[in-house]
Amino acid sequence: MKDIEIVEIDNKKYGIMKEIIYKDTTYLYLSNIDDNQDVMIRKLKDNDTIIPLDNGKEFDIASTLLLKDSII
Amino acid sequence: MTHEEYQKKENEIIEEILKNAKKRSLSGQEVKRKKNTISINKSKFYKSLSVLIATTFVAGGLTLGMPEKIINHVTDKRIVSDQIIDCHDEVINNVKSRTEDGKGFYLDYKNIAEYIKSEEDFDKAVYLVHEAIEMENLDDIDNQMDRVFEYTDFEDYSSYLDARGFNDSEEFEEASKKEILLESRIHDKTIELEELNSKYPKTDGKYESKGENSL
Repeated sequence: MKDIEIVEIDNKKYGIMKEIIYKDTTYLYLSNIDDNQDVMIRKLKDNDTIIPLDNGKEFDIASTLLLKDSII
Repeated sequence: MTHEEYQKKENEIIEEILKNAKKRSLSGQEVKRKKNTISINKSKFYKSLSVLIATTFVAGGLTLGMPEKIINHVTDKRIVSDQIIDCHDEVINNVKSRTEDGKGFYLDYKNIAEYIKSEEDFDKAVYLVHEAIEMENLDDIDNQMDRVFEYTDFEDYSSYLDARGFNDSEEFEEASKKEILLESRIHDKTIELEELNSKYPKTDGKYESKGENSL
């Protein structure tokens, strides 16, 4: 078994599968506990608030970070 | 379903997941982090992570025009890990029991050994079991393997490696991984060749004629 942190967003429970810090931003990679095809990326604000990403460009950057992390 | 159709279907699913992931990532409510945790099955964890990586692979990789070498590297990783996860789900999960105090668990090594012995490819089964047990984060994986080998014709794991001509577990793992990848490529290429042959049938080393002007 593996312990993972969960957050509730829009009434659904998501597990934080990965955290990556890039420059001053912490990106969180989330997967719905009940449906692993429901995934999303969010970021932290003030260390304790999980907020949506700003735009598509930031989504691409965050995606690339996880991709690099999984290759290395 | 043909190989091409299967790949097309898989790509469509990933693209759909990506489209939804992007939409959800850019909208929705802000929430406070409460640090609540739950325990989930490791294979469930790795499958979810694998979907996330596949999604970011399309979003971050292909859109940036990643070299084929890197794409192949990621694909290779998935081929091996999928087999390990299957072994974990189908073998290790079924032989796990809670300790009396409920804090830990133990494995039925005899059953694991029976599984290895029943497999057509004994050595591949040993490798998959080794990796699947490792997913449980148990201490000293080689010691866990020794206990499995107590129920085989070998004295222990290291004498098995020795008998097979490997210097250590790392060398064995590397060779096994390579074999799984090559087998998978041969399998895929065989299907591709069958599809090509069925599209352009050959007789006596010549493509079969479809027109009237052939010799």
